[in-house]
Amino acid sequence: MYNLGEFEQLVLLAIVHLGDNTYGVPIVEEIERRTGRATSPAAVYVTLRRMEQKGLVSSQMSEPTPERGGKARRCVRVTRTGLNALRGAREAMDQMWKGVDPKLRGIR
Amino acid sequence: MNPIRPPRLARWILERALPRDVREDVAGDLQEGFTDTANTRGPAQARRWYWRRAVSFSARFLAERARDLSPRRLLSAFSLMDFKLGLRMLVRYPGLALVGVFGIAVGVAIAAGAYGILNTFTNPAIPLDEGARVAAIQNVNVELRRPERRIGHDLSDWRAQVKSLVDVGGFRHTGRNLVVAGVQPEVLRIAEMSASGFRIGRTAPILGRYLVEDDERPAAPPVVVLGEDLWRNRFGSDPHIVGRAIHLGAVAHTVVGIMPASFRFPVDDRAWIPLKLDPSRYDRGAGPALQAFGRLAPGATYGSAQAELAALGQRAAVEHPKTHAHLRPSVLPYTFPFFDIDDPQMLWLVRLVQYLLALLLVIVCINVAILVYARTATRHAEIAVRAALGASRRRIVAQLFVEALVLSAIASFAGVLLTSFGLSQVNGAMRVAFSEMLPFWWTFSVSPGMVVYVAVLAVIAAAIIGAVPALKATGKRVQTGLQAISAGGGSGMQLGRTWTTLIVVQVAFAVALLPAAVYHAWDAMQLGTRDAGFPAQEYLIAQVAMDRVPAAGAADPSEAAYAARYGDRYVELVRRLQQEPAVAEVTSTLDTPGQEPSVFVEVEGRAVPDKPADYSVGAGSRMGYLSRFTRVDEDFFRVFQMPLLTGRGFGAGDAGASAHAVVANRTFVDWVLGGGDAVGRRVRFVGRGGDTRADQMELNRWYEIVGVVQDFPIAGPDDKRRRPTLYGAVTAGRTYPLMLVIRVRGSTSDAFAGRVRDVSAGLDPNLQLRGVSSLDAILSRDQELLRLVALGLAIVTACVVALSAAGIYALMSFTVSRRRKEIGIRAALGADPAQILKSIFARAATQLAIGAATGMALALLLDLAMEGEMLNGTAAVVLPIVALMMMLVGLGAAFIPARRGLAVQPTEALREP
Repeated sequence: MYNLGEFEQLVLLAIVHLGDNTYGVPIVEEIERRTGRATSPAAVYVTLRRMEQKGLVSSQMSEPTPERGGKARRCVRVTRTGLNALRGAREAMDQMWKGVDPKLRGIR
Repeated sequence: MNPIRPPRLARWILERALPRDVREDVAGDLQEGFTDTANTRGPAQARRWYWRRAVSFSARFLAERARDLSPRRLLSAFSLMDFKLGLRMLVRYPGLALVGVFGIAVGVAIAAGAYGILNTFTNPAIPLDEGARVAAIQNVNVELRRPERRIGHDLSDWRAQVKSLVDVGGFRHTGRNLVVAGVQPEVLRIAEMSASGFRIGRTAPILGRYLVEDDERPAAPPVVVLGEDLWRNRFGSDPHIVGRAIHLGAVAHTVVGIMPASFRFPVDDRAWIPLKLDPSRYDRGAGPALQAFGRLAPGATYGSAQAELAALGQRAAVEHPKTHAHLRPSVLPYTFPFFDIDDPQMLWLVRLVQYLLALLLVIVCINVAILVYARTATRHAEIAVRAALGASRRRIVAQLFVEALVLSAIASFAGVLLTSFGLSQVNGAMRVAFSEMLPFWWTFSVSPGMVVYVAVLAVIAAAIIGAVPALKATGKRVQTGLQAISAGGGSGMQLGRTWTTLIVVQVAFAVALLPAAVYHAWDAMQLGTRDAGFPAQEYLIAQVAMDRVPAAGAADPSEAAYAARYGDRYVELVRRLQQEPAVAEVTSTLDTPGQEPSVFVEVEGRAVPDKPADYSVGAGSRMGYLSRFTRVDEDFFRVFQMPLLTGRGFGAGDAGASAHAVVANRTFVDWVLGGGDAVGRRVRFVGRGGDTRADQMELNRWYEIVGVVQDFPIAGPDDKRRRPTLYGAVTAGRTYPLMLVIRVRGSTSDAFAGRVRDVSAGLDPNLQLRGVSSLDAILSRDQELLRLVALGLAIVTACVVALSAAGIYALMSFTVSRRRKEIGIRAALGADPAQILKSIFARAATQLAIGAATGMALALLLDLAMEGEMLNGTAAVVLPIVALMMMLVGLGAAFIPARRGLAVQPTEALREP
């Protein structure tokens, strides 16, 4: 199974939250809204392209519109592979977090 | 109302940076974002927003694309078949292969040679253990901008006080006669060196021991350490040599050790005696000229050593302002001062030269690229078919790149061989010219670093000659190529204005630069092969010096006593030589005839030249007419058969300190005095060149010309060897050291050299004969260097001619062959063949003529800028010849395809792609 990076997880989770057929701009906004971190749109687009090459997301082009200068929009959705990867990442994290809280309190 | 659009430049950048697969949607999203921003925050803000996004997206995706170019992905584009195809292409186009390989090989050889030489010069590490930590210590006179060498006192201070440097010591060189029973005495160059120099080398002796501090005591018995070469050649590798005494001049030295041949520190030495430094015998700023060295202490850096020395220097400047106010100690890698590198900027300059020479290869490659492009154009149909069958652009470009790589790799290999040969020639010439003055690490050879450098150059060359034409040939038009072929259209590669410009530039460069190269190569070859003009083999010359070590029993160590003793010995040596039956005549001079040093002269009643002479003027001097000056005895002109043209030669009273007679040669009268009667005219020296002996000429004192002699060697009015020269008088035995000239009866003087050494040794073992050689040998050594220069220039010129001619040929024949179809149709429609040919030639001739005219103008401008040095007045003959030659090549190149075009059947012409 593919090991996801932290940013990849954020992007995939944003798509899951937004539902299928979302695209770059809302994904950036969703990540910023939920994490409170400033996010580079370019980084999101690059990550989307990379994840599509790996089969974690799939995309389809919409009809071109005049507001977009006659250009089509790329709508993305998470593939089964992507969802499995997300679940795997979460499980790994859960395992790692198990029993950590009391210790963290002790350190504090 | 026009909708607001994002900034055009930002859009353009973005489009080029984005990968094709995401170009549309990213641009669309940004356009949408731009429109929203413009509606909510206004157009100015929107434009700023768009620029920020465009830059950020471009940078991210460019980085992403660079990541895609991983070596593995790149390699996957190549196949072994490409290399085989590359070799096959070389065989199929032998002309292109030959010209390409030759041109690139010469370019690579020049670039690699420069790399080898400059890297050797600038390498901070001397080839010893931890060589980069061996340092030179200098006391730089900031006013004269040169190191002060009389550092006896400073060296003692540094040795005692500096903590960042260990094994601090000094050295100087001296010459002594090595006197071995039964063998002719030989002048030996000896390093007088501190014992710490041996510790710096970290090299164990083969036999015995090296020098130790105890040997440096003034009262210590004289000892010597010999190098392995010397031990083998002069003492037959005698295993019992340690403990034996050998005579250096009149003084017996005990051999205490033999060092291996690999140890030649400090410069290129094979014999060492201890440096007996005794600063109490002289003042600060006085004493012998020395060079200092040391090794960085463990943990110390050049920075920390420099800081410590600078502090010492400041203290010395305060304590001894008279001698040390202008001195700044500096510590730098040991090898640097030998190439006059005294600050890091010098290193940058050297690197710049290196890269400029590598640029030469780029120019060559552009030429080859033109040829390759013409060939690629003829393969357009093949490329289009491959593209149609599914070959990606990357795959096609990779194939054409590999074809070029095969060519450039073969050429680079040839270039490295050429470099290896050239460097061995340079090594030989430098050893002959400088002998033991040359640092032992200055040996140029092909190094692993150089091979890597050449490999990089080969790839760059392949990129220029293969990839660039390939990218152009597989551009947008490749898609239309197949349609064009199927429709029976043209090749699809449009050349138009670019092609015309290339032809014009190619011809212009050839015409502008070739004449000068041809002229200088021819000039060097003429000088390198011409006869001396006098029986040079009959003259034997040697510089006569004498050890400063007083002979046993000589009480007076002063300079005057030394001078008197030298004078006595010299006069006696001349007397004894004159009695030899083989000797015809003996004369004396200061310098080797023909190699007199330069001076600047002012002539009474004649304006000083307004143009500075092409020579650097020594400190404290000013400009005047450039001339040469030496002193000769009264027999010199007779011995060299230089007839007196007017006035008188030197007499008995001309050599004293108050004498003011000089003799001029004919060229001095012609060039400096402007002709006329020279006798009685007065001249004075106003400046001197770097190698002129300051004690032999008094500046700003008027001298009178008493006679005029023929030039030496006898030169015609157009002879390149003509040099204005002034002679002063010298009396044998009154000046030292002097150059002894012996004219030997019979044919060769070389055979007599041994006898001269014997006579000298018999007279006084402290007398040294340095550089005993026939004048013939000296001249041929110089000529060899000139021939080497001529050969180098000839190779480069041939390379330029071949490349230019091939380039012009390829350009012309390609342009005309592209018009074959048009020619065929016109012929089919009944056009007059002569008319068609005329139209083709008119266009070709116009292009060539523009190129030739531009080139001639460029050559004249360059010649003007170099004050006629480039063409030396030959412009009127050489320029039109070269221009005509290049035009003939171009027209010839146009003629062959034009004739073929006329011979083509109209149906055939219509069918061909």
